Amino acid sequence: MVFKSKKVEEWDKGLTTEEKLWIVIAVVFALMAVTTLVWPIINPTHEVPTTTLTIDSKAFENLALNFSAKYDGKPVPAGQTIYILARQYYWSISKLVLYKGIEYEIMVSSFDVVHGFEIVGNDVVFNLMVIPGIVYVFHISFNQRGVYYLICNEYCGYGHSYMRALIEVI
Amino acid sequence: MEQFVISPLAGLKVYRTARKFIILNLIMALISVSIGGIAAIFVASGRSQIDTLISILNLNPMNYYAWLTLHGMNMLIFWILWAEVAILYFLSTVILNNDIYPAKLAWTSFFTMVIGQAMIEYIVGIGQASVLFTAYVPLAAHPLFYIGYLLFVAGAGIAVLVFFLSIYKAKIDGKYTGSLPLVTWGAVVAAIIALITVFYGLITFSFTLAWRIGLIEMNVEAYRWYYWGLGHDAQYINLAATIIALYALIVLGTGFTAANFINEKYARIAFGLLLIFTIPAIGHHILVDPGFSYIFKQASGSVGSHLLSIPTVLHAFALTGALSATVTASYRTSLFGWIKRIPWGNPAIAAAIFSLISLAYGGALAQPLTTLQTNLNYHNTLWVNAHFHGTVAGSTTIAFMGLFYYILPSLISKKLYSVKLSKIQLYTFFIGILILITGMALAGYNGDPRRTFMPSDLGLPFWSSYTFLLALGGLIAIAGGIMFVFNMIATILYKGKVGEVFEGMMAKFEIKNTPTKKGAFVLIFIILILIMVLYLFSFYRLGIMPTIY
Ligand code: HEM
Ligand SMILES: [Cu+2]
Ligand SMILES: [Cu+2]
Repeated sequence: MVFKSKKVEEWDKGLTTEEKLWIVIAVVFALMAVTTLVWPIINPTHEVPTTTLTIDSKAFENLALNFSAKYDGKPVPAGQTIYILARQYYWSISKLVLYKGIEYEIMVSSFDVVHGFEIVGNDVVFNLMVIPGIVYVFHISFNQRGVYYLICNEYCGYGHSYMRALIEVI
Repeated sequence: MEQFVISPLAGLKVYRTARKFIILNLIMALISVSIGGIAAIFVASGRSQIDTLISILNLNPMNYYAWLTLHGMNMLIFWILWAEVAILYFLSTVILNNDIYPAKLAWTSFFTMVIGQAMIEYIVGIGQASVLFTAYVPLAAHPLFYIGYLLFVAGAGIAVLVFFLSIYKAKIDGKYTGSLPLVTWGAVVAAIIALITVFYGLITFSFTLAWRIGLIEMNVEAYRWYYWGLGHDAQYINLAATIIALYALIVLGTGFTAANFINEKYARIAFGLLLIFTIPAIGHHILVDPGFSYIFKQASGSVGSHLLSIPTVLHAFALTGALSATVTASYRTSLFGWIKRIPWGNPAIAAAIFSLISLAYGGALAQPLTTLQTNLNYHNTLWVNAHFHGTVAGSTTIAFMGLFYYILPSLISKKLYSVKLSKIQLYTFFIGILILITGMALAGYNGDPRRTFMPSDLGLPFWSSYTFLLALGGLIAIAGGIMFVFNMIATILYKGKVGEVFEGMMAKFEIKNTPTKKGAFVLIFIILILIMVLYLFSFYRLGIMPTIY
């Protein structure tokens, strides 16, 4: 009985073949985690970014503001690094225009609290965390033209839902 | 007056002091789930993308996040922990024919938790601490919020000590000999994980409080790590407690027959593995954070976390197997014919099966989440909410509801106010939760972010049919929640009916044929294959998206 105490000999009765087989199945099931280890070999361009920088937030703010002054609403040329700063409650850029098929380097960081960087639209969903004091560096290349949304997906305060920007891929 | 009364459940001795504490904790759990449930109305409406609902409830960005903080705190922290303390006390006292020990410490725990909770309800209620239950720094709440969190966690830690001391007392008083009963053994595993959780919690919130009043600087990523030491480990207390409840429910619902078909050695091994695999798996909460290394994320968040499915999958077979063996011992059936013969109208069995289905659903959704690369697509979307409403709002909550339908009458020797309502309640709540998580999963799959107030002008149009499902399922589940709280309170208050206490709550089975677990084996095997297909599909999906690295 599961509700009664008993001597070890009373419950320690060995396992049936079915139970042993089931242990094997459970282990094999867990080993599907191997996909995560071999994926970087199969597909190194769909991977959680690993590059980070630590830049003073004031310095990064300047980079982001300069970038927006030049490129907000205008196509970003190939080779130009994109700087985006998150702060309560807006992105440093309101409309990012990118060319299809060109790989861009994006750097994103936060000026104040934790934010979330989410690209959504056209069957695409990507999510990264934006942490104050750390710059997340990654590469992205869109394979379809269209309009995507840049939204904040980590609660950052009352204006959180309004933290939106557009990405247009041309 | 005698110190104890004899329970209608297996003639166990119920000590009056122990009973008082179990019922007090149960009442606090009911209060918490009620507040969390009221908040759920607002939260589900705030996500519905239906403006009429939003304006009827007068929702705006200011109060939405206060409701959401209340919902998360009351459901995930208060309801679950009060219920768990009640269950731990039950398993270390009544099940061992034992009194609670020491009562003074149990009072200390109770008041510390009550005061902590009251502080949080107050400060969140007046809108000074809308930081959600994770309270990520540097977003700041009123200091009272952190003090309340600290007190509540400390109080729960003291309750865990009372659990261990009560078992120790039972041992030296010779109230039990040999090994602990299986359910109490499982509770020991839950309690050990709880001690680790409390340790992380005390560190997190004492440092955060010190930071909040300006004494120290705080590292944002360090906070996220320690917070998830608390948050992650707490979920495996819940898993262990859920599984204990499931063993108990299957045995109770079959009038104790299923106990013959549970291999306790197997179950004990699985509990042991749960303890081992829980601790290193914190990393799946920070998979797309910039502040942690790739190797670490893979080891802890991906591989380490997948190992955690081993104990769950073992228990799933032990439980379903015991049920199928019970049925096939009574009736000859085809491979899956036993499913029809399950006493679906029995509250314990219905609760156990619904809890298992929710666990499988929530567990399936967890697979792409806990994998490094695919986490990119699901992190912080409503998919995450779908996952844990399957595991904790579905599985744990349903198992606890079912268990309390038996614990309460066994303590006060009264019939449940309405057995019929308990059945209707379980079906309603379960169906509601299924619709709710389906809506959440589909919305999240399409990128609808979690924790975001969403009037229709902000919601993307392709989310709205899924958020409609979310709201619909949510309201049905809330109705189920109300029936539960009502039935519990009515049972405590009404005078009681004559007759056998568990009448209509324990199905009868005879052991006539050779029992078989084959049907259960094949059934869960198929479910595992389906989960694998979903998992591999999520890699395919990542592969056809734009490149990112
Ligand atoms: C009764 C019906 C319930 C409904 C309709 C419901 C609805 C929701 C919704 C819509 C959200 C997402 C809000 C957002 O991210 O913007 C949410 C979050 C959450 N729910 Fe529930 N829920 C219910 C029951 C429960 C239960 C029983 C639990 C736990 C035992 C629970 C735990 C949580 C937690 C922990 C969150 C996350 C809060 C956060 O992100 O800070 N819910 N719920
Ligand atoms: Cu935000
Ligand atoms: Cu976790």
